[in-house]
Amino acid sequence: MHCTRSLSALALALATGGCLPTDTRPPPGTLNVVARTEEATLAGVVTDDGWALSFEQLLVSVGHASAEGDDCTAYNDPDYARVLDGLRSGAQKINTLFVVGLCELDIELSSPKEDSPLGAGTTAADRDFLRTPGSDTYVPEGGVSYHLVGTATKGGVTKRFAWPYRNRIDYSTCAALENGVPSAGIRIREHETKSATVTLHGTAPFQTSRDAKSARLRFDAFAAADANTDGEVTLDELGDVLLSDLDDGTDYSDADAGWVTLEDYVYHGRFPKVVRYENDGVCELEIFPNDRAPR
Amino acid sequence: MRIFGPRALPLAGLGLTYWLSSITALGQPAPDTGAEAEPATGTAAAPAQHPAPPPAAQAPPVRQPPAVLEVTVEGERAPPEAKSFSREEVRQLPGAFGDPFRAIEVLPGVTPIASGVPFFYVRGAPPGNVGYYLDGIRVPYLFHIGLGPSIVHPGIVRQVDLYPGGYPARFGRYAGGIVAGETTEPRNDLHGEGNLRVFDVGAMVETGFDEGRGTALVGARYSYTAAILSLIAGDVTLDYRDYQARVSYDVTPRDRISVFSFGAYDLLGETRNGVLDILFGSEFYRVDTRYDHFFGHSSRLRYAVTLGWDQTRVAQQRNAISTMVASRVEIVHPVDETITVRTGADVTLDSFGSTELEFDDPDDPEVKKRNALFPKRRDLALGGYLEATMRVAPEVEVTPGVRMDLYTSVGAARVGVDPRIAARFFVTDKFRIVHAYGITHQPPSFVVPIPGLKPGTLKGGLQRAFQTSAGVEADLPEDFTATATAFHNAFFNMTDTLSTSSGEFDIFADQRALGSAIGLELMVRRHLTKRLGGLVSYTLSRSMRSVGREEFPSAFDRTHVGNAVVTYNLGKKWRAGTRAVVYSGVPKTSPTSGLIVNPRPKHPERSPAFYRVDVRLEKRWKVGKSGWMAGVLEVLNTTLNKETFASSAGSSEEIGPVTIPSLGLEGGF
Repeated sequence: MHCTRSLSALALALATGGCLPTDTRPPPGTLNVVARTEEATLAGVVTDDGWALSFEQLLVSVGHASAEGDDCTAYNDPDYARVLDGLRSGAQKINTLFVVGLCELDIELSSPKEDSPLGAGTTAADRDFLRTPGSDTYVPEGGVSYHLVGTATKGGVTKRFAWPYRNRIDYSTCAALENGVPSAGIRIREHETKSATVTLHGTAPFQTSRDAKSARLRFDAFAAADANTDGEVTLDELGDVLLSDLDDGTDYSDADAGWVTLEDYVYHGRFPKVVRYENDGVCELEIFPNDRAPR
Repeated sequence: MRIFGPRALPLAGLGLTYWLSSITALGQPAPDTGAEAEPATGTAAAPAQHPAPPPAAQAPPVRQPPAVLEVTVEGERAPPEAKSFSREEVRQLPGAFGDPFRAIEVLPGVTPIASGVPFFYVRGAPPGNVGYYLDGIRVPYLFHIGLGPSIVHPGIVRQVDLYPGGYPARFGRYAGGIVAGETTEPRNDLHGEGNLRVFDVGAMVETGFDEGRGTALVGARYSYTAAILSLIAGDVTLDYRDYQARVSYDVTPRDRISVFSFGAYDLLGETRNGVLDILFGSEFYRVDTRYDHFFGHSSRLRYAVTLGWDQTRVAQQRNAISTMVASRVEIVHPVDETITVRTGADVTLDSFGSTELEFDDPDDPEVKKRNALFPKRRDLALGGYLEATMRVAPEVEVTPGVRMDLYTSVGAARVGVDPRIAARFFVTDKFRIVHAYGITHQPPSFVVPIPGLKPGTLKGGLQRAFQTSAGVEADLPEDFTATATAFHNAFFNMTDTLSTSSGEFDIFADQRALGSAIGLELMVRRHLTKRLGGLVSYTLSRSMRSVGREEFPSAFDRTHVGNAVVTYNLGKKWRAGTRAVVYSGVPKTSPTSGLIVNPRPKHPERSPAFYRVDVRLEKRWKVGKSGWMAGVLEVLNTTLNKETFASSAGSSEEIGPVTIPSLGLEGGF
């Protein structure tokens, strides 16, 4: 639309709402991005090697959902992560997207910001904990994306674990599986409301394979890693266990070439599986230390 | 030739009315200075002469076309803190592309955010605290798309003044500097000028009617980048345009009515899925209706009513819209030969529409902050000022003044009382000492001025600045002038989001800070229209911020900023110029992300320094009796240098090279 560049421009602007183009987009639908926690994490589970796993805390910071795709029109782009109590049952809101078209979902697991919203059951202290810089073998100084705390008990022996994950993960072009095949995305029509579910899996670190469907749960190797027998299995202790020395019934054949220790395997191979899209959905993953700005 | 000095209108500037004696000028229209032209006037850019002649009777508004070769030019002495460029000088300044408003970045006290970006800190004050005025009318921004040419055709801008601090009481409501442009005086002879460049075309024309009692001016600029881009990248839209129109009519020899309207439109967008996604969209319009009465003896009254309409695309096709109704009265009255009194009052009512988006996640902290920062509301600003320039002794000129403003917004009311005082001591006829002190108040400001977007957080208090400066002016041989100024500004309750964000930059943050800026400004200058003209400016400064227990440099604190300009008449109407810009790096940014970051250091590491070289080459031709044409080649950053912004975590980001070539034709009659 062109405006007349004359004395009448002001009157014209007042009368017509100015010269900027008007909105010609169709009304969007609503895509509620929510989190659900697997039953095994909520209720506990017994591993194949007889350890009773139970979880005390799964504190997760996840969000920054966005809808992408050539046929997708996004009306908003929530730029925030929500701190969630991963031990609550039912759906918990992460973000709300207003979109129309065929969209693929991007989501981010990252340390929260100062003003990140708190999900039910979480506190500002939880958020501060996730924002507090710390280090581990792989991240020299970074915040925490999730914190997994629990115990495993067998035959009167109890081992505790409390593991912060300090990487940020961009899960992009996520697609749910339909008959074992990744879907093309989520089609949202005008005024329609749908949900996309991010699932939380506290049991992921103890799976015997990166293939979640065929994986079983085992804990013997973790219990054995408690070298100082204080009952606390730390990441550093996992770092002292060579994969080549393990004989716990897991072949670790899907480990990447550079993974030498059990810590490598768990941190790089298992921890990213704690947060998934639609249980067994597929996403492209990019992993960075949490000391970088979220996109 | 009759030339209107930059201070021909008492209302246009502040300072004693005086006579510039017997200025010799060429028989050319003012814009056509020609390569051999010497400065047409003493202009406000040059320090005032000593001793100042007595104020003379203010002539009624003059409309005659330039006709004689040697005239006496009437004007006012520049206020002590004014730093100015005339249109003729700007035309010769490499890297300014002929835009008067772009030229101010070469002046001392001005610290650029980044090369080629015409938003700057002025003596430590952030871009949002720098007020832009055109003929006393507040304008939201000066440059198309934030980076491009200015929003008014250069042909109607007579002069641009930068007041880095301690400015006249006529200006207020900004806690930083003031950039004030003044349009040309109405002329009743048919004249005009235009320019054709690679990316836009502009023209202005003015003539008289009713036997010279009235004048009419129209001007416009249109960018055809949209058409060019559609051939290169069909999904990208870049469009800007502006207009100016002015009609004046002398109802009696002492009474004039004028209507001045101008506006600008900017659009940068990308089409996706058949839908235009606007990345930056903004427009504003102003209509200023004025009545001027000339009492004689330089006394004058102006009463004006201004209507304004601003709009900016916020997101999701939602526009931030504001309307403005303002009224002002200004009076200048020379009491006698030693005292001139200026007084005035104005009221401005701004109505801001809602920026809340229909389709937004209500839990998004950014959304909450944005909605809280820009609520739907009406803001009122009501104020008045009184100022007097007094020659208390033959060698001492003092200008005390005070202004008072009342602000209301979202149920909050605040009052700002701004005393100012400036003095000029004529030590010899070629050496002066200048002092300027003042307090200024400003409602909360946004990161940069954007039409329709002004924070509604007055309940958090006014920003306040205490501005002090002291310096010397010297007239050197060969028409050189030199100035040296030391300044110290203190800022209280300031909303400098650019400088105070910790970790990630958050433009919607409403964090208040204390600030200070101290520095030394040096400038040696020879009028750029001389056969050999030039300018060297240098600013040594330190700008600090304090939030809670943290004290750290402003994010865009640059210790050293230097400019050097040389222009030379090559003969045969060829003129060449070059400009070097060099400045030191800004503090490295803190690690980002959501981490609880360590306190920012007081003396951080810095990004690398930057320099660039601009060039300008012009060839002029005379066309007919009074016409002229010129071909102009101008390049900003010929050295293709990139600017680096680094973080203390070791990462760095290179920007650029921001290199802007311009090839165009200019002409006038």
